[in-house]
Amino acid sequence: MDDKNANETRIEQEIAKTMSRLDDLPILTAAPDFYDRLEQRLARLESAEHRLTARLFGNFRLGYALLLIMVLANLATAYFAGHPSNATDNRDQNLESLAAEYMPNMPSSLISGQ
Amino acid sequence: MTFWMNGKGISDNELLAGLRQRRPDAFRQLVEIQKHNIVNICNRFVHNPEDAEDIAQETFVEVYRSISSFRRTSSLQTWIYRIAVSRSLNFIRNQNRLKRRGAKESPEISDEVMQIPASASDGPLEVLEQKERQQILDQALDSLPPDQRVAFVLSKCNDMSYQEIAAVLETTVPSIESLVHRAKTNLQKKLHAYYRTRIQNSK
Repeated sequence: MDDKNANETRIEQEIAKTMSRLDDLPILTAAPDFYDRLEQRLARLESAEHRLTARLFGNFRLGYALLLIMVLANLATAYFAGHPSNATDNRDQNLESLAAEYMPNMPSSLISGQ
Repeated sequence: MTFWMNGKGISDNELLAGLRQRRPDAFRQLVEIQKHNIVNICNRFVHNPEDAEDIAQETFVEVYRSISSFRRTSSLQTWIYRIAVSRSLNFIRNQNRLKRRGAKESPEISDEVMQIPASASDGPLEVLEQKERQQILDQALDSLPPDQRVAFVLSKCNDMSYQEIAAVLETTVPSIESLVHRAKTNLQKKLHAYYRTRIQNSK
């Protein structure tokens, strides 16, 4: 029984000593070059991000350029293919030239239907 | 709130205005005022001065970058402390994940324990005993549930009041009181179990 009590007392003493370390915790001080290293770290991060942005932006620029070319090509096709007066003029001219080639005696008024 | 540096008071508002304008002098002032506090808070969690400094640097990087999102629901200091605690807990989580994967074994006696400064009056045996006690205490602290550990560690940090801890953890003062009390009880239980086994084994 005495042995058990002695153990308990010893355990309590050990706990008290260990818990007292909490009140005796070492106070750290940051290294003198803390701010300089922080500045370097920020600069490194910003430069890495800048490079990434530049790469992304470069890709975007190429993409936009290709898109613009495609849009312009589409617009040009739409303009030339869909222009009605030009189309009619071309068709009449083609008919006249064909008629002149294959039916040289036929009056041109008949060919054009006038 | 007013920060003090070289005997000159700087209000939260002044500092915040400077930080929002991305003025390097304002950022430097903030770092100089808070760096020791932040390194200490981080060290209380990670028990390693080098890691603590690294996490403190990450904390200031986040402060610098996220200052525009600071909504002033708390003081600037509380906000910075919150970031430091969150970063420290993330670090511990990552370390635990690495340990679980077996990528890094924790040393028998951690580096932090080896770096505890000894007082001039202590002999080699006392120094060794202090280091050992610190290691046992750190391990017991690390095994507490996270919310209890954070509340308890902060209560032992920089004389932080329960009100300040409640602000950092975004909870109430009674809740912090309860967490600290439970943490202390659990800590004593764990230490009791440890010393009982040790005394029994030594026989």
